[in-house]
Amino acid sequence: MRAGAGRRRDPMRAVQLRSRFLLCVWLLCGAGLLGRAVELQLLQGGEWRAEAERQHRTTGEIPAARGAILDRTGVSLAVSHEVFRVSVAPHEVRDTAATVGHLASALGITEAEARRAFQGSRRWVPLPGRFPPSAREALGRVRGVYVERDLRRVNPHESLLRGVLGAVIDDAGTGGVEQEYDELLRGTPGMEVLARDSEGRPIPGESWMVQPPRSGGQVVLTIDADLQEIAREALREAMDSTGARGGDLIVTDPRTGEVLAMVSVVNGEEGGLSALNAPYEPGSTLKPFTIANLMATGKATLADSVDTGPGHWTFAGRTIRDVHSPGHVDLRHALRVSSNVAIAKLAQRLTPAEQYEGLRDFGFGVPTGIALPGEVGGLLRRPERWQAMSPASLAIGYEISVTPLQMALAYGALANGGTLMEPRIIREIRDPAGRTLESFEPRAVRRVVAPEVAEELTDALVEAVQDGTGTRARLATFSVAGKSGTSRAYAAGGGYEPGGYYSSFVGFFPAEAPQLVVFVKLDRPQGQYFGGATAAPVTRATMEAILAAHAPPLDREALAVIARSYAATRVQVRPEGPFVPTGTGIVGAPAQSSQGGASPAARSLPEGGLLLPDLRGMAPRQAIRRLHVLGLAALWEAPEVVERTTPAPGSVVFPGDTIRLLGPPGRGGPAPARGVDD
Amino acid sequence: MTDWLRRWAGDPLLTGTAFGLSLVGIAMIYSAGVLNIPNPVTSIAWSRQVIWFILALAVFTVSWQVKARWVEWAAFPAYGLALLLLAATLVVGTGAGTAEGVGRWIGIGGLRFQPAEFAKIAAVLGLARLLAVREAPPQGLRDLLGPAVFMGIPLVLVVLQPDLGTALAFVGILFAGLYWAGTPLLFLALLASPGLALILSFSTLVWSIYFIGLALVVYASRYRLYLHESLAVVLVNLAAGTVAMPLWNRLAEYQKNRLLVFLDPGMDPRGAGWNLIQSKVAIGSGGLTGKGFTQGTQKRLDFLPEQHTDFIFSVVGEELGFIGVALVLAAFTFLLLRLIRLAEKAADPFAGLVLFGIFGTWLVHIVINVGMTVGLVPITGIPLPFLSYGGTFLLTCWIFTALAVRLAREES
Repeated sequence: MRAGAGRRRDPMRAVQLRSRFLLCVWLLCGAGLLGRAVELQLLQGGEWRAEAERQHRTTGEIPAARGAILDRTGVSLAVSHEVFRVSVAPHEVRDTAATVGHLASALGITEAEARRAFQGSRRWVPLPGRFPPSAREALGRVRGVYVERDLRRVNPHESLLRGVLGAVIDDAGTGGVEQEYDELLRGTPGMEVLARDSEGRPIPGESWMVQPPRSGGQVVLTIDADLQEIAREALREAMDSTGARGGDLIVTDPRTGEVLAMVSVVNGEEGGLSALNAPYEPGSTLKPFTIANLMATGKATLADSVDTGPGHWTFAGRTIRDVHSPGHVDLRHALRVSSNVAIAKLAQRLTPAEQYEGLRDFGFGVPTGIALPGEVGGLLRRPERWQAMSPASLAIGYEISVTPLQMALAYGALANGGTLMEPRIIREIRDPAGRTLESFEPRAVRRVVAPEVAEELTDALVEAVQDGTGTRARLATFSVAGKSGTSRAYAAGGGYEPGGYYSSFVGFFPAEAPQLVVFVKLDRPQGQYFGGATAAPVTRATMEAILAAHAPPLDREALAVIARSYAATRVQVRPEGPFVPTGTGIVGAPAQSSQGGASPAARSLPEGGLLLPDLRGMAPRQAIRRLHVLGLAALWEAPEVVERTTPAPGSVVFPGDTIRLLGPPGRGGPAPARGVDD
Repeated sequence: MTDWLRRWAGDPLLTGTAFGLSLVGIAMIYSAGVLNIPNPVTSIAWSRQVIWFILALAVFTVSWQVKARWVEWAAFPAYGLALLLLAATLVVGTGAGTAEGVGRWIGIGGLRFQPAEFAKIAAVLGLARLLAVREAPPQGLRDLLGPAVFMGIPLVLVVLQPDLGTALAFVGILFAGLYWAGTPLLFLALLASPGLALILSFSTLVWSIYFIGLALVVYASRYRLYLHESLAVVLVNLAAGTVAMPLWNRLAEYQKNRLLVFLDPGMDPRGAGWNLIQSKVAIGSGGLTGKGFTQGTQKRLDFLPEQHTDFIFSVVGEELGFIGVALVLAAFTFLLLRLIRLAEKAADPFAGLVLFGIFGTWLVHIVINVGMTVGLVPITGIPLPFLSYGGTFLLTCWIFTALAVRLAREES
């Protein structure tokens, strides 16, 4: 019996059965589909909605504006600016020609550059570069063009302080203050929820801020932008004139340990911090500390005499030489002429422990703790690792490596009456609104030597500048204490580099009540390489320029008092003459710059008087520097170029007089300012 | 006016439902083009669909005037022509749109169409003619062989394109036709068994259980089958079970992926599983009332793939919600119900067979398409009647509608 016979029995009934069956097939399928829809949409709807949100909503960070770095007077050294990125979605653009025109005019790019975004088949083309806020105003409503906010770190004083500030690379502070205070400066990024498509592109205009960003705090440096600029120019000039390939220049306030300016140039490049991470053998600039050590331990006084003999002395197999033998000299004289033999011999009176501890107390061999990354401590071996010749080598600045910052601070201790100060580069940190969060007060590290020792030594160092190896650091208005140094440069592969020298000079002024320490080191000057010849003039130029500047860190009142008494004690202002080596280690050098001096035709001048040089046509700062060299004060009224002076050029003036620098006639004040103190 | 409309429509309920679904389709295709970052192809697809719709209405108007006798007469020539076109497609076929990689289209002048779509019409007519001439319903498996081969030829040609989805429609036509012709369900089941064996062969255990069950069924039906038929069924099943793996290895990578992803959607969410997951996310996130017309986020933000063609139903689900899904399914139910009604009324076996062929085609399309968008069926790339974008397909749907209306009218 076969199935299907039913159709023959009752065709209509069979047809109905079959159609019912087929209908049931569909209803079953349809019910399955509908059931699935119920499951997906009604039962699991929430989960799928969450999944959808998870897919196309992403939380993004809203970058916080990075806090500013300011100098001590509030000048912005590094600030974050709002910039904008521009992207094009070519598929959305209807009128390509018009859009290209819009882009070109709003962004200041060429039409060819704008058209490039429309070539190729990419659906999202970011234009290279960043654009000012005007881009958003101009392009915010152009179809197919998207403008996104970005923050850019800008340095308003381009490269002025590159090494100290560091940089911001990929939103992370790299080097310098940017790195050291990254956490504070960076702020807290905000959160936003934004829509993105399947290719991860954010959908402009579809974002919701969840948490606003908190801008970073501000860092106020002890650096003075004016002084920094002066220091930088002075170092650059010195590099140009000496052919040095690099150098460091540090200006500190010995009373507080504040770093007022710090420039490092390595192989012609600024941006590093060799002032704290590149130790060198200091040479003669270390001698004052040997002497301080002798005096503090009571092993010698400045009046103690020593016989330098034939100008060389062999000790433990090493021969120490002087260029000219000073003969039988006292210690004061030995320091002035920088006699290696005399100081090395006298240092024998110190025990290794005393010698080591003395240097250690001045801060050598340990990092100074300045708030900048990458500082090193230099090398000062403990006595047990010394060799036989080490005491003599150390006494004259060898077998020890120091950083320029350590050296500047150690001289600061002498200038500060024997108290070593902690270096400060950060004056205070502030919250984004500018309220002070923490301010850093000067802190003494330790008393290294008694005030009397420091004072005596300062006197000796003044002599070194007046008559010794540092004469080229002399200032007309103030007495300067300082010491030159020349040491051999290390070669890349170890050992010394033939013909490679570091020339350095550290000075502070006014010697009576020091306000500034200026450290200068030149890396491998060409030709003339002695510190007294190459680095000392840089110190002087820096000091002169600082005096001429509106330099806030200076106590002008105190300076005025000192300047008056200084002028009174000096018979005549000696202009810069040829550099004459007066002691050891210095080979005579011809002076090339006579522009600093107003060669005194001393014929019929009253005693102490001099002729006012012609300053017309000079830039004010240049003119002021010139006046300071002569011991004169300046009242600056010329806006750009000095057109007139009162008194007139050629007038007889006296150190301490104030000269008015005036602009075009009718703009300056009429009265001569002779004899007026500022 | 209404009289004229009634006359034009032929069967107002069927034509009206088809018309309504076409309009919903155009609206959803328009919405599918509303993207956050517009795409030049999808954003104008709706307007092209409108043109095809107008063309389809014109063809409908003309073709339902054709006499049923002519249709019956034209069935075999149309079938022959369809085979020729399908063969030609394998040689000169090109890809188009989102199906760039496969050669499914054939161009004549500036016109491009899919021969597989016309082949469906020809196959429905041809099979109906083939089965209608029989005096009695198929009495044994042997009687099914002819129709199976008759449908097998276009099916294989379509699979070779490759277009697995459309090929399944031929299976639907065959089974719907055979069933309507009076074939017992047991025979249909045995006919389908090799295919089932092929699918189940992925698991040796499952296949073994299935095979034992099959053997029992064959044994139980021993009085209704000739011995050689029983043997053939068992052997074919055995063969299907053993050749499955070599056959699997010959599948294209994306076909393999689609099957695998169906079995385990989580295995590669960004790759082959993408379509399946995104469709479920879109539909599921639509909830009860949907996100609003053109407002679907998954679609707008380019997460939903092929949103204007194969996944148009996902747009419905996301933007119109469960209500939209239920209404569209209700409309399809009404459409299919109406086809069954018309078939029941048809006295002529040819008319009934054509109507059920159409029923089978649409059933397969709807179940597989909607099934894949909700994750019940593997992704097979088969469009949804009247809703999916695609000119030839819309035209085919309307020609089917015209045939249904014409042949249903014939009896009165």
